[in-house]
Amino acid sequence: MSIQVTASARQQIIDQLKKRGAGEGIRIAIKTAGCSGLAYKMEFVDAPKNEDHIFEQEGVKVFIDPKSLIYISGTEVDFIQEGLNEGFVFRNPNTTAECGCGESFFVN
Amino acid sequence: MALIQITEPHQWQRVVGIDLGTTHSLVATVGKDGKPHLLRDETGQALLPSAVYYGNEVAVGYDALAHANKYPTHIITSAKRLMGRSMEDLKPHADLFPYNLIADHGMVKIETAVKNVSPIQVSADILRTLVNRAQKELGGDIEGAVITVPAYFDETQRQSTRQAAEMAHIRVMRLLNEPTAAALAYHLEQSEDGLVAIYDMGGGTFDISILRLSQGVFEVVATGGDTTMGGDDMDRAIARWVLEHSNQSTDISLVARQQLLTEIRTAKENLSRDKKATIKIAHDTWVLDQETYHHLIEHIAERSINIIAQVLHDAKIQAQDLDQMVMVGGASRTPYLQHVVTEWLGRPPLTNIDPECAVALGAALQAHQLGGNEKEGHLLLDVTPLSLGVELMGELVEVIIPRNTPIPVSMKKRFTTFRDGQQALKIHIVQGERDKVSDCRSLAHFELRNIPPMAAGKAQIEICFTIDADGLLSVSAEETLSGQQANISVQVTHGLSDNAVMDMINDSVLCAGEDLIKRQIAEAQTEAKQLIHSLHSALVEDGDTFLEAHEKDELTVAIHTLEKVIQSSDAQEIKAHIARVNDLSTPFAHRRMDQAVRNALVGNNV
Repeated sequence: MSIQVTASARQQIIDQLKKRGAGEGIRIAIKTAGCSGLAYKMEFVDAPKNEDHIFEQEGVKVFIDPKSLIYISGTEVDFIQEGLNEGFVFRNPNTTAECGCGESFFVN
Repeated sequence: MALIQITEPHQWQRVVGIDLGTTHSLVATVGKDGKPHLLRDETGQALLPSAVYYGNEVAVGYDALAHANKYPTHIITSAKRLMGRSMEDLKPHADLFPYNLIADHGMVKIETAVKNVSPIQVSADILRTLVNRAQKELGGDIEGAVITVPAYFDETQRQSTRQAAEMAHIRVMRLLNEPTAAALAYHLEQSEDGLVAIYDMGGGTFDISILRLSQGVFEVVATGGDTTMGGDDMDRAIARWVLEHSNQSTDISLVARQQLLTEIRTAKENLSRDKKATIKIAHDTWVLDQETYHHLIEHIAERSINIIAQVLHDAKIQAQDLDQMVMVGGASRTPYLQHVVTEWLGRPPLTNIDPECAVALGAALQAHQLGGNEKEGHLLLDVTPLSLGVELMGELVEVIIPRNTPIPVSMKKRFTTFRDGQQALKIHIVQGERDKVSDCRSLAHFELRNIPPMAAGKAQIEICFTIDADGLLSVSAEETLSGQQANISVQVTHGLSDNAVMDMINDSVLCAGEDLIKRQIAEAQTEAKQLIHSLHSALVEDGDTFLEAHEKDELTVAIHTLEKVIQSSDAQEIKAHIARVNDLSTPFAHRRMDQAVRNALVGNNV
């Protein structure tokens, strides 16, 4: 049960939290969305929940609810630039398939 | 791979569920505990009578009823029955509304002493009152609402409900079928897989829905009902009884009628507990005992059971296959109705959530989910009550979206032109189960224009029907070779008349044989006309080039005979003559084709 955050992703989270001026860290969760299957979600955390698992790496706190953790344990979170866009990507070893638009994924 | 951004944590949305009922309306919301509850006014009342008073001021609910004795004709009740209806639809019942109706652009308006109001306006005033109540209670603007409608509401009636919400500045997250909302209130999506029937007897409408649950997902497999049966009819049955037992003529004043209805509603509630109730008007008193009361409402109970049986039959389901039955709607509180349903079902139905509130609570749960306050949602599927299609040549209906198709849905079919050089296509949208257009209900017409001139049958016209999650229909047509498009959102001019939906479904079964014959004749006629038309132009063009004189004569005679038998009502005869013309014209067609191929080859060499 773990999650890796790359150096560039970590720096990005720190910068965004600083810019926002508030927040305990970030939450990673899965939601049912996209074309089909599941999709990732990242949001700022103001109030952690009791059941959250907390992963702390060099000053960055990542909160994951137990249900989402089942699907994303072992995932590496990276921050990349793709042409003019930039954003976080999830390299999830549990994924068995992705939909065409890349927004949703399936796990077994 | 999609790039993901960090977002702000989700804010709790102030959303509500509204049961916009015929006699009463309710508003509910889901609390932080995840449980739905009703929102009450300052005096602690949850029920808002669906009554609006139009006088010097506009008053809604009990405030409106407070004017009942003084200004009965200024008060509008049961406006939901008028939503999306025309004068013609309502004619058989017009005398039963305690106010006067006037026709207005295919709809009706209600005459009050101050001004004429539309049923949409009345509904908007009710919705506004409920939302104001919710805003006070929840401490802020309401971001959205789920509003329930009877499963049988057609396109016009749904559109009217939506317009009422717009008028009241409410964002409609979804129009939800009432029985579906009732199922949500009981959290039936969490029960075991199986079939559930929802019996919803409200003030003015009766709905029955059969839902199939499968792994927490439920689908409405069949719906039926009567848009004009409910608690109001019980009141009327008693009113008739009172008038028959009085010296007054049945043509009593509007004032007296309003007073009588108020008395009757009290008596009905008393009869749920007591053996007898009294009804007092002016100096007269009547005593109504339970036995007489049951006798008076017996036909309503029986009709509801008949409708259930019919819907089950329609869905090919046996009564014993039902795993659960839920009774909702204010009138379902009537012990006699519960008794009749228990007898029929062989066991008691679910009634532990107050039947009056269940729909509003279910709507609140749905709003909660749509507003994103709940993480995991269940999939909600509704179905189309009647088939939707377009008119073809020969007045036949081509169904595009069949009845009982889960919505939202989008379906396409390809069509083509009938005549050479045809540049426009009239698209006639119809709703119903019959094969002939005249037996179905016309919803709308529109035209696809500027089709480039081509030979008959060459154009490829794609007609797409889309029904959104609220059950509203939009239709588009595109000629795919040229890209010409046209589309329409269906805003129908008037609603279905009483029981018309049930009648239309019944007719389709009763008349299936007759329809088949009509369809065969119409198809043969169309085929014959098309054949004659194409041969006429071909004969004029190259008749003398490719045909010997005797061949041409023979073919002309055969065409002439076909033209004569075309009006016959014997499809076989028409088909036999089509076959004869086809046989005679085959060599002609081959020779023309060969010539066309040769010309094409010559062209290529050059």
